[in-house]
Amino acid sequence: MLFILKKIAYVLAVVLLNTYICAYLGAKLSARMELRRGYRLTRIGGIGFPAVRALSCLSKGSAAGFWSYMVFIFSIIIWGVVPFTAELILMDMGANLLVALILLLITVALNVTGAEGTGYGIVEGRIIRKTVSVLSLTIPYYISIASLVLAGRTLNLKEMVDFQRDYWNIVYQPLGFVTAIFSVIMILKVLGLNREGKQGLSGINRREGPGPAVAFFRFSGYSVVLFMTYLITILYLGGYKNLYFVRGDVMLGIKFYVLFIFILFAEKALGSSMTEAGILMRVSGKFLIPMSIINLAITLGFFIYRNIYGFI
Amino acid sequence: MFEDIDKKIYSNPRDIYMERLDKNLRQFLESEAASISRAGKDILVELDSAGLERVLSRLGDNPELAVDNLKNFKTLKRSGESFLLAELVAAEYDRSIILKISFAGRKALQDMMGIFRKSFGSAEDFYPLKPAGEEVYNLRIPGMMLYGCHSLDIDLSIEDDTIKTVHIDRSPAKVLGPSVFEGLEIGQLISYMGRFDYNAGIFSELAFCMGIEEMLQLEIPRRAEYLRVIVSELFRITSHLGNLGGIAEILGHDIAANMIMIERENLLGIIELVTGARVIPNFIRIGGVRYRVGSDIIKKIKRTGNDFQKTFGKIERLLNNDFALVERLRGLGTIDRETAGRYGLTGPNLRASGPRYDLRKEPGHSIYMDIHFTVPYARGGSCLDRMAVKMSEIYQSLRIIKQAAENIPAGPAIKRINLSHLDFKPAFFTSSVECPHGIFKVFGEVEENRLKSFAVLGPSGPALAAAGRLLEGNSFEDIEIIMASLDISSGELLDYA
Amino acid sequence: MINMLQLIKNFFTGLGNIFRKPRTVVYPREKIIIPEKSRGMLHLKLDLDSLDVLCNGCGTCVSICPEGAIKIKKKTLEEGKQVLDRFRLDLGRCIFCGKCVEACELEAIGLSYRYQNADNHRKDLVMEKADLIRPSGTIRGFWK
Repeated sequence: MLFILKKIAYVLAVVLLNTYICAYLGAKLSARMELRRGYRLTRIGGIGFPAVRALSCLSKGSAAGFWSYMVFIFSIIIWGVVPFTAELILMDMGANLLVALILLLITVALNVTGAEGTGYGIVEGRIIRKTVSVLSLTIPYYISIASLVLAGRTLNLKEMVDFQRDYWNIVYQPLGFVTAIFSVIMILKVLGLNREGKQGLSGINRREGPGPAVAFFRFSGYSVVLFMTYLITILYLGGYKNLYFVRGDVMLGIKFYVLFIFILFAEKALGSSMTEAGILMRVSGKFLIPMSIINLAITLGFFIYRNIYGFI
Repeated sequence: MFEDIDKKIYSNPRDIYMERLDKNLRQFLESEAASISRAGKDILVELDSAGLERVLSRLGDNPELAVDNLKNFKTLKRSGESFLLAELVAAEYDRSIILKISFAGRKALQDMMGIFRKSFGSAEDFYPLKPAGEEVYNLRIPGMMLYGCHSLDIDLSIEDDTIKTVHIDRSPAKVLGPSVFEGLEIGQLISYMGRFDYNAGIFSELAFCMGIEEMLQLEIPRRAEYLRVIVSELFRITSHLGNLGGIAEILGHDIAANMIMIERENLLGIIELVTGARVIPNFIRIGGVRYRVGSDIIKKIKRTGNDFQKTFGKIERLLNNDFALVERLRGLGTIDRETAGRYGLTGPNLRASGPRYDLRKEPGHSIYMDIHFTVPYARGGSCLDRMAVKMSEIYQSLRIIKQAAENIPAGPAIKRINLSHLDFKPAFFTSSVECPHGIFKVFGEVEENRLKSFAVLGPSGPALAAAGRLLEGNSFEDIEIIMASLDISSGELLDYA
Repeated sequence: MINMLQLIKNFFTGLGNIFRKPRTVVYPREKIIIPEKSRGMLHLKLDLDSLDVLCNGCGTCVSICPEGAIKIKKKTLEEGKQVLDRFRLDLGRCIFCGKCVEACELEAIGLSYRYQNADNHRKDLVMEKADLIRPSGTIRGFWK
């Protein structure tokens, strides 16, 4: 019993600490890229600002609705099925990749539909269009992971990491890696995590009345993006394998943060907001989904070639 | 000696036409109107609200006039009476009449709008009625939410993400109260005049001083004219840059928006060196300008202009090469040529739809006749075309500044005139300048050294009336971009009645 | 369809911007030097020999001020010379236009660089003659 509580405490500590650091990095780096200074709420370069922001939202007192609690619970549960090192995993199942993907889909759908009510009246067409476009951005991500599953022939994340003993998966499937990263960048842009406080119609995007609901939705937005990045790190970049003399979890942290910072820069460099549903559908339909399908076709070709002809 | 020779030998074609029109109108409208007079470069017809219908039908019968577009409406209050100013222009924009109609009560105003609507299709959009039932509109965007409509409340009725009807309410827009002009002499009033436009404050001062100078037929020293042109073009560049930065920020292109604001800072620093302030420059006086700007500041202006030209090329490429921005703005909020004429739009809103009309090319308007520049235009009329026209205008303004700074003559910068000793007979004056949003027209009445009434017929009135029609049929997310690209400034929307 | 070259250029612009100095100024801790012709609070000029105000209380600035922010009281000395007794400026009404400076024939007043004039109560905004003779108001580098 104590053992399980210790594990839960470790996992929660790791998740919350990293979400805090990523929230801070997100705001600070995107401010510096525009030659602004970023938040300066506390003395030392504004390190305390995510905590201050979260606490000020939580203390404003209006009751959070049912949706926000569901989103919060789901966005914590998804971290329970992925391994952090070879021993640190909360729910050890056989096919935990499949479970993780399903939970991710549910969280994304809840986040987007719940956060999109304006306080002045619900614009229904807007909710439906945004949900459909965000879900259509997760399709290339899933297809890339499907081609990985085909190559590795396993649905267990630990076995996937062990499979990358000699070479990381990025060497085998570079196209899938690029597609997956691109869809994460687009989802980050659509969720708009770094543009709070800007004026405009995006300012009336969330429900009126600050309170715990705002904090929960923001947390779940970060959680979704970080989870997708973490999955990419595990599946394509070797996860928690040692690299010569560097320890496994330190290596995992370095890989994750390098990837996350690259995604932040690329999101800024993408320029204007592609949050309009027509452009999003065009980008995902003409560019991302064909790339991922080509990747799947190539993997399928190699799979058939290897199994039926017994080569390689 | 030969500098002003074309002003002295060849008369302005507009003045000749105005004389003909004067004689013509006296025959047609003498019995209906209370009085017909000249005010600045326009003809002013004063009448009563009872005779409006007959006057309009007489104007329609007049074969020489062909004034078939309605440009602008404004209400005016003067010590207990209310007036409506209606400005009618021709399709070629070279002739205009102002009708000054006295009325009493809000109901009379709506009746007059109904009469106007029979001859001019766009009249009702200027003072739209809100229908009595509250169930028509189901979403309300308050002021200060959207960029570019800081003091307008927008009521929408949305069905399935498309907008059905729009009502734009402009009662929060108040810049000055109606009693601020009472009891002040003209010389004291100049400091207040820069408040009507917060993006480019110098054009309202310029219009006011040019109106008074035209009444006194005062000729300004040449150095003052060149300085006025340099500061006007600097303000034009900053206003266009502010608009482009706002559009980039709405669309999410943060890097470009911040680069634009950084460049704008350098230019505002130069304006501060010349005039002393950024928003209300307080620089133009009747008879010239306030400071005699020295040659070291002129050198600095030239150097900053050259540096800015290099960086603006980078910004232009950033915005034009971004496919999502171009795809989003293409075909959005299109105004075709007839609609632009019907609503009386001016400035970049008009030039993006086709007609190449710019007040700076009119002969006799300051010293623009001695400077080479072209007037950019486009044919589409969408938001993308308006953006492209503004970017081209920035290049042309840089060209004007360079030529003016090289050829600036030596001499005095003001012709001193003591205004407290003047006593005007009761008279009206109008004057217009080309401001970055359009044509800024000013109408006032002077009486023995005081200003009796004052109205601003700015370019944002027609743009707002056109916006009410443009927004219908578009989706909810496009409201912000369309309103920002029309460049509406709320300082000119003040109504007194 | 997507302009790859422009995206790569944007990426490196953003990356380079991180290592440049930001263009914002953290106002109360760092200030910038204000430009030369800035219009701040009024100040009365002093005669350098006798260290007395140059103003003789003629009242031209009172009549030209659009807001009526200046109030003057003058007194006559025994020799018949007119000097200034009381000069009161209401900062709450002043719009910093500078017409009083242009109108003064003796050039006895000017606009200094003092721009940090905010206060808690409206009655503290009324400046008397002693408040307006601060020498630090005219030094540009001081108001940094």
